[in-house]
Amino acid sequence: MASVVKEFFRTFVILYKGFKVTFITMFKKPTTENYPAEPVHFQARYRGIHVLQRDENGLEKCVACFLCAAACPANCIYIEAAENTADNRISDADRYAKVYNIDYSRCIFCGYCVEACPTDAITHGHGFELAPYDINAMIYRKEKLLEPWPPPKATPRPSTPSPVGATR
Amino acid sequence: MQVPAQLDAKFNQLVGRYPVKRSALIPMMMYAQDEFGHLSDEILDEIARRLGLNMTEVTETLSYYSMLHRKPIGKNHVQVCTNTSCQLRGGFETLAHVEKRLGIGNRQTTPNGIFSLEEVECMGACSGAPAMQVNYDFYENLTPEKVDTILDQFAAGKRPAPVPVISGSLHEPAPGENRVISQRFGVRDSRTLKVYRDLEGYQALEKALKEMTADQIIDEVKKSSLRGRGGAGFPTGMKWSFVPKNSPKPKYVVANADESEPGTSKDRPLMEMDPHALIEGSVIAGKAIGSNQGYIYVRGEYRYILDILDVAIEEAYKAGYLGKNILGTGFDFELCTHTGAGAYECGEETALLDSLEGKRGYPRIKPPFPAVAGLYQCPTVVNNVETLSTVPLIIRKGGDWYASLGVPKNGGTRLYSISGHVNRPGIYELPLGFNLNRIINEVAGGVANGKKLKAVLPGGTSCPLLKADECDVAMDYDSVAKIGSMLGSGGLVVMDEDTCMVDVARRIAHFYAHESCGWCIPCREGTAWLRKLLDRFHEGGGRQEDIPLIDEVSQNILGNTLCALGDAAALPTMSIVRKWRGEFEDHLRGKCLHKPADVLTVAH
Amino acid sequence: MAETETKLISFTLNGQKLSVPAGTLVIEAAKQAGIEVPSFCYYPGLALQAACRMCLVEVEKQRKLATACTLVAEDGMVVHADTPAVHKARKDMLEFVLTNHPLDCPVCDKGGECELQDMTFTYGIDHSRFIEEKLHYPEEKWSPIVFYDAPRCILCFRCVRVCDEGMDVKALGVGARGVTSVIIPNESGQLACEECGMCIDICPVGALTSGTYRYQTRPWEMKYFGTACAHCSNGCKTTLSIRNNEILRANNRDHSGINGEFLCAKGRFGYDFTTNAERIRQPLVRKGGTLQPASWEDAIEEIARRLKQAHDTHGAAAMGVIGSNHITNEESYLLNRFARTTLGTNNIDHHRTADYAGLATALGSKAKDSMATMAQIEGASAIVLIANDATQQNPLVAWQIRAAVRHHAAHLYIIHAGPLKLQRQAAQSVDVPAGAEGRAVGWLATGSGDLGGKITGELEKFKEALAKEKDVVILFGANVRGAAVRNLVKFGSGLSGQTRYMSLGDYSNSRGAADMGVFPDRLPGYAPLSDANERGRWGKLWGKEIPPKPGVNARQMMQAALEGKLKALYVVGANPLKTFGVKAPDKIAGLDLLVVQDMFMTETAQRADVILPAASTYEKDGTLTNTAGEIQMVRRAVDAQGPRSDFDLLRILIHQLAQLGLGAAMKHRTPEAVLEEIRQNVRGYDVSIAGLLTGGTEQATSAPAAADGSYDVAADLVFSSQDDLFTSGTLGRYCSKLNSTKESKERPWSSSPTTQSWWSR
Repeated sequence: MASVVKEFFRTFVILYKGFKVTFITMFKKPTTENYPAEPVHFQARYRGIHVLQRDENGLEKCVACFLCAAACPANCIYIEAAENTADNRISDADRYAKVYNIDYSRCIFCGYCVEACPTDAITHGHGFELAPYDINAMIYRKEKLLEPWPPPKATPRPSTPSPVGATR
Repeated sequence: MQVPAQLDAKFNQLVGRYPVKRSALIPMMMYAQDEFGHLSDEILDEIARRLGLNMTEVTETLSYYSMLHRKPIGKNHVQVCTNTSCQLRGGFETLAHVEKRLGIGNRQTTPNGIFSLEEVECMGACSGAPAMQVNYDFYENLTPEKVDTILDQFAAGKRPAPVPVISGSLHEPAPGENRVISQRFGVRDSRTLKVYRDLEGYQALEKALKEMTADQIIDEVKKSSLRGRGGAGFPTGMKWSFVPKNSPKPKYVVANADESEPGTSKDRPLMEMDPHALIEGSVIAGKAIGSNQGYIYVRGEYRYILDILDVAIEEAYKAGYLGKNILGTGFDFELCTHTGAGAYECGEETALLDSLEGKRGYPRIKPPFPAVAGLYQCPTVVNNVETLSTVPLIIRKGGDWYASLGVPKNGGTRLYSISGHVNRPGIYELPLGFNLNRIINEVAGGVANGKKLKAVLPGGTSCPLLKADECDVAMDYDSVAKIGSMLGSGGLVVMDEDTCMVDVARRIAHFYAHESCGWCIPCREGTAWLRKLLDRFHEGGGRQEDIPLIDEVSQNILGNTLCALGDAAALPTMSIVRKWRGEFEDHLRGKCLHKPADVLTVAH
Repeated sequence: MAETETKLISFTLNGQKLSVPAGTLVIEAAKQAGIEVPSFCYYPGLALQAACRMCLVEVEKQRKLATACTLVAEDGMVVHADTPAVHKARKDMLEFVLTNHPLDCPVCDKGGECELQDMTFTYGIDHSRFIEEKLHYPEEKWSPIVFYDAPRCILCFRCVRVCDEGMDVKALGVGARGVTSVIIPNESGQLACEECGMCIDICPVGALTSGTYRYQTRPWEMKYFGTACAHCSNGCKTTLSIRNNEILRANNRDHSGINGEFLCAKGRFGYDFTTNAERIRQPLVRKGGTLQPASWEDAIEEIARRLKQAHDTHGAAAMGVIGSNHITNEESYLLNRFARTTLGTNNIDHHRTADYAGLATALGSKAKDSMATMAQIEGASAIVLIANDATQQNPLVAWQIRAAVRHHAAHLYIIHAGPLKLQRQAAQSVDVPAGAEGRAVGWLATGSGDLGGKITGELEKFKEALAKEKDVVILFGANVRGAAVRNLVKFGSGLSGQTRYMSLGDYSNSRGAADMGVFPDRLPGYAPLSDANERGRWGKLWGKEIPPKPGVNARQMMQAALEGKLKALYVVGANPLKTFGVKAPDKIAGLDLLVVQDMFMTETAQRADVILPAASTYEKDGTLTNTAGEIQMVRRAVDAQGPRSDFDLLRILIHQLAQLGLGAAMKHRTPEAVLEEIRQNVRGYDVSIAGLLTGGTEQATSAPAAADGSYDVAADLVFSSQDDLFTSGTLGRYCSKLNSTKESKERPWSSSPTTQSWWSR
């Protein structure tokens, strides 16, 4: 009799140990992303495709100081600067980036450019779908990197992890 | 441009005064401004043409001096002093009153164009504080009623009688006073040649020119242990002996009458009542160093003094005390006045020389010292008015006699202009080595309203302040230096127990920020920083870390500047923040002993 | 300058014993010893300021810190520049400077090459205790090329001093006082000046910025090419800043070369002709009356074919070549070879802007020690300037003259027609009627001449004063030519001291063209064509005999072309129609073929049959010789988009014509190889190649072996274009930035000087 009880108990312990993870995980939210059927979720600090920011007036924050280009270890940022005029005001400072290209065939997403930026103009977004059929399409121009203005009406939730494509 | 005949004559006279034409620039602009009210582009172009200057040279000089302006201002320029001496006796209240009365703020003009108002720095009426100047006229010991009467009269197109002689310079001899330099104060018509001659005037000149050699004069002055009365206290005889004897260049004597140290108003009565003493002293100095040309650099605010000097010089020329072959001795000496245009920095001897050359008053790099390369790069002696006025006495009565009046190495007597919270502010002549406590209590009649003494500025705002318990000190150069301050310019400012020291520091900072010439970085940026810092602190925006910061900023200026102005700004500030740190702490808690009416103006 | 024995003194700096000449400033001694003493306001060659207080050092036995920039080293002095007190002082001063200095380095043009940035990085602190509001003033536009941003200004007064002392323009001053001090321009809110841009160059921070360069890029993004300026004959060294094959800035970044930091408006802002929209970028061939684009092959073949045809039909005497004041020595040399051996004619000449040949033939074998360099102007005890407005025509020469007068108390003597700005520096100035300068020189040499009593009296004094000078440099313009140059040399060699000469021409390689023998009667190195030995030597070198008959000069060529005596004219980098005032409504009547190699559609090019677009000085390699004979290398800083260098074009054409039986083919493929041939064969050009390759200059003293007493030249052959600070011959028209300035339109110096306050007073 005692051996039956003992056997039962031992079996129970073994089963418990064996299924522990299974049971715990069973009641948790699954971590698997159902991409591409569903949007991907990111950590807030994920370093994806860059976003060029605007200030509250819609002016570009970038003042074309070239520090991102200087900091870039892959040498993938190309800038041409120009002077702001009264008729053509692009940024808040004296200078703005007439051309701002990032070559994503070279970018290593190290984040140095973001760290170097004195005006918080360049940030990492969460975009990652870069693959094109033509390598030239991997050079992103300023127009593609800029935050849209005026901001689109249906703004995505910035507090929750953003799904793919909502912000880059 | 057509220049009115009178001004044209003045221009020609001015241009003829100097070996280098540019020197006439500042006086020409001053007189042109008196004529037209402001300096228009046309008149500046005319002046530039006459002097052969380009417009950059004219405008850069013009923009340096605070009395010159390119835009029209009111017919009557009301200038209210709020500097330390006036501040203590209600200068800010006076300013507030005038502002209210005229309905305009600082640097504004009434719509009818009759009045312009400006808050100005010390105008040399400290013993008559609070004071203001309307155009060139001084009005002292102001009360709201007095201000109203004066302004009413001006509004009615009249010119109220200005205070003829600085308040406090005419009085019975105070106990302990020894009136040697000021012996002629109060004598009727003392400024005329006749009275001066009757009272032993020009005897020293006769003696110096006829009986003495240049070296003997210098020796006599050395024996007298006379030290410069302008502030630095450099032995005068030694300064003269530095002038190279065999230089082929012309030599110059320059009298520094740019008295603008806040709290100091002693040269003004001296020149007003005894102009011939200065002239006589200048000629003797000329003989001593072998110079044939002298200039008296009078600050722009003292226009009436300049006129008095011009009359006296004219008299002296007629009587043969100036000009060619003086007293038949074959010695020639030319002397003329030169007006400044409002710049404290021009009291510094090398900046004064630059200003005399018609440039911006920037101090020069030393060496070479003016004795070797001064005016127009020629050997020059620059002496304070009081120093030069003392020289005739020394020559006449002997150096030993003069030295015996004071204490060893600190010969003779000197003038003190006592201002602030005392019962009898005024100008007093006391021997060197006189006890400071006795000056306050016996000579000046004690602290006003029976209050307790808190602080004393022993020689203008450039000196570290003394606490009440430090005041038992002999007033001679060495003793005052020993307790960490300076004898300075003789501007004694007394502060009673109700004085807010933060406010004093703030006002001093305003002054130096306004007067910094902008040449060297620590002074230019440091004084402005101190001003902003103390403004914020006094207005209640202070932080605990600001207290050591005030001290440190001052200390970083100290000793690192080209001229002494930086030191002058740093020393009093440091002494205040160190000696009255408690009051700064009180301010952090919102406690201020004295908050003047809401007239915390920015002096720019 | 009197070479007096300078006493050496020794003092200690940072524990290092230094031995320097008496009178040396500690800051200079430190620099020589490799010890950095930082400063903003100290600038070698300008007045001392002691204003920035960055150079404070500790001197033993002195109570206060002393400024090293005013401290004269004395025997036995002990100085410390590396103590805690000194470091603290530097830190404090930087903190003071930064109180009102905006921290807008990312936007500021100076960021990356800013002295304040560097010093803050090296000596400063990383945070600010200044929490008050900073002063702010709006930016001012003083001229299309000078902008002033007052908040950034640290008031070191370098700009004021360089404008006053260096340029003698006095356009900048200091306004207001104390912390509100600002730099002010001479006219309310704008500048009226020579637009030299020295103030921008000398500014240690980003307060003065250049309208041509600002906000386009950052210093680390550019490549830098040291080369020589393309404009006047002074040959200033300039550094071109290049990004994306475009010149964005010109300045002499490293202050090397004959000009130190100096550049004039042309050198600093006149580089944009390279990208001018009117630039010809492909060959043009006239077909049916109009010029039409053609391929290089077609154009070259067309030229070769028609040249051959003209040569065969009309003979070599009907061929003419006009050379350039702008192309490199190698190109001029090649052109000479092309004319004399390929075309077989001596009809080759150029616009002679100074009588270099006259000076060379007058000096002969003495040339080596008698030709002044730019540096020697500053070192001379006396400078004689004849018939040249150096301020306008030769800005570097004027800069050197001013430096000589300012630093070494040199005496300047002038013979000129009309007022000159340099008269302010002159010890004596003789005003002669225009065109009489040569006669005045003749009077100096021979004591005879018809000049009138007043001038003769002044010249008498002139002569007396000069007789006392030890070291004289004589500078003369185009109006002293032919026999007058010989007279000048005669007068100069009669002076007691050393005498050197410099002939002042107009353009970047005027001297080079002359040295390379672009004359109808002289071969390279001024070798006379009449000398059979010389003809033989050069003929052998070039693979074909040189015809002995002298050619006709440029004026005669143009005349012959009009009359139909000249059938083919080959013009390289010149605009003879304009230069010689030739009237030819739409075509030069008598010519069968006019070929022009040029950058722009000049008056001459408009009438051409074939135009070959040429590269500019900034787009090719080679050497230039300045008016003092100083050779320096030019480098290809940008690639010409379309055009080719004159060297290439001539090389290809020589090859092509050799195929057709005209002249010999050449073996050299590169300018370097031709330079080697020049060095070995042209008299006076045997200079060190190392000096050139390292960016320096070497003086060529080209002259015939013996002085030629019979040399003379017609007055209408040697003449100056009288370019001023804002013109540069035909090239100047295409410098749009230069032409955007007010002065380039108003020319204040050309009107009455008494009305122009900035110029005359």
